[in-house]
Amino acid sequence: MNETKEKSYTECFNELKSLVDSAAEGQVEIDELFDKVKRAKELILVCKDKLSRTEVDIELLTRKMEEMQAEN
Amino acid sequence: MPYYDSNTHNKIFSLSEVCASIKRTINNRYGSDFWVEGEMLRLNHYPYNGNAFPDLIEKKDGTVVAQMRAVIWASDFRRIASKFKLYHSIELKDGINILFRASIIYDTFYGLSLRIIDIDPAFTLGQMEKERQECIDRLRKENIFGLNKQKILPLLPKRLAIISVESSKGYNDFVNIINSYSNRYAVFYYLFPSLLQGDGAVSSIIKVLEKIRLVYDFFDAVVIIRGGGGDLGLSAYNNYELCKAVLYCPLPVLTGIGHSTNETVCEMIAFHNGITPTDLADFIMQRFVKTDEQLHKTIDMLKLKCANRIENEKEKLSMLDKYIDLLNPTNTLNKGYSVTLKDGKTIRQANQLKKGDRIVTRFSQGEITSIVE
Repeated sequence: MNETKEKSYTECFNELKSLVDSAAEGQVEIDELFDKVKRAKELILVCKDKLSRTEVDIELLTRKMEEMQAEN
Repeated sequence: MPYYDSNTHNKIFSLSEVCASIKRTINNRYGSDFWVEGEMLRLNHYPYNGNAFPDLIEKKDGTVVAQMRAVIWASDFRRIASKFKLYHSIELKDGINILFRASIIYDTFYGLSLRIIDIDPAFTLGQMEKERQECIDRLRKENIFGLNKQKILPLLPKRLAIISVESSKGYNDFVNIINSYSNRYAVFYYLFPSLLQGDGAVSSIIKVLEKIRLVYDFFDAVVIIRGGGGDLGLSAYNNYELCKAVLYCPLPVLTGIGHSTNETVCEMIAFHNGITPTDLADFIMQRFVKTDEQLHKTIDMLKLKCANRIENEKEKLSMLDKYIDLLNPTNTLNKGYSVTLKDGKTIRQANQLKKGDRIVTRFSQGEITSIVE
């Protein structure tokens, strides 16, 4: 999980995408499919987490900009 | 009556008799009035009784070739002055060319003079317009007409060198507007006092522009502010030397001279003519307001775009999430389906197996091992 945290959103999303693509192929063995699905679920959580952090960052940043403007 | 000297037999007149004779002659010869063109060297108006005693001259190639005294009686002066006021741009003053209707009068005390009954302001205006046009033509010919317009006015002109008079209405109008924004936008200004109208204005403004040249690094623009003085005495702004000084100013020059007549040359060549001091102050402060608004809009846009982008990503994620649930074998097993494996590999067709094979069947919960019969 730690390793994943350091990856960027785009990297995580791309990994997720290719994981889903390969899982959709008919020839995947069931154990492999279990693993892929598990990993994909993990990545979705990571991506969602990154998005909500970004949302908070943007909110803080724009609030700061507006405050600076109001001060002027 | 004249008398004869008993010794010399000369006919002797008294002074008053001579004067009376001249007066008679002149009255007979110059019974009617006529139009005369001339330069009014000095107006010599005496406000306490309202009379004026202008010195009139005619110049040819710079030298005076004729000179005569004139008189405008108070009642005539009032009428003429109000007629001039209607023209807004001109006043009766020293040094203007005038076309006037006059009669020749002779006074036993003051001698010969022209009594001015009427003045044609259109003529004087025409003369001034001619000078104005000459100034424009000369600046164009010297190819310097657009010099100041090529300067760069910073987006936010924060440091202004003001040429004005502290007590003037125009200056106060201007700084009141600038100051009214001081809680939001800090604009620094410094007043360089100068005469702004009449004969002294030209040399005074030129001198101030020279002063500003020495410190121009400290300023973003020069602002010439006048106003409250009516439309009179504006001819200084059509002066070639003054216009040249404005053109060669190292900073953009903004004018707010405030009048209702023809644009002066100075205003035409200035980087920007704000017309009145109030308009000019608005022009400057609007740059701040607009920039501020744009910044606000940009921040709003940024917020919106970020929110949209994040929403978009969230949707993509939830779609992928749903798709993963479809692929998830656990969900299939939960529905009652099972999967058959041999040596860990999924069996998709019955003919992959033969009698005696050992197979594993996986359910949603647990698995069993069987032998194929």
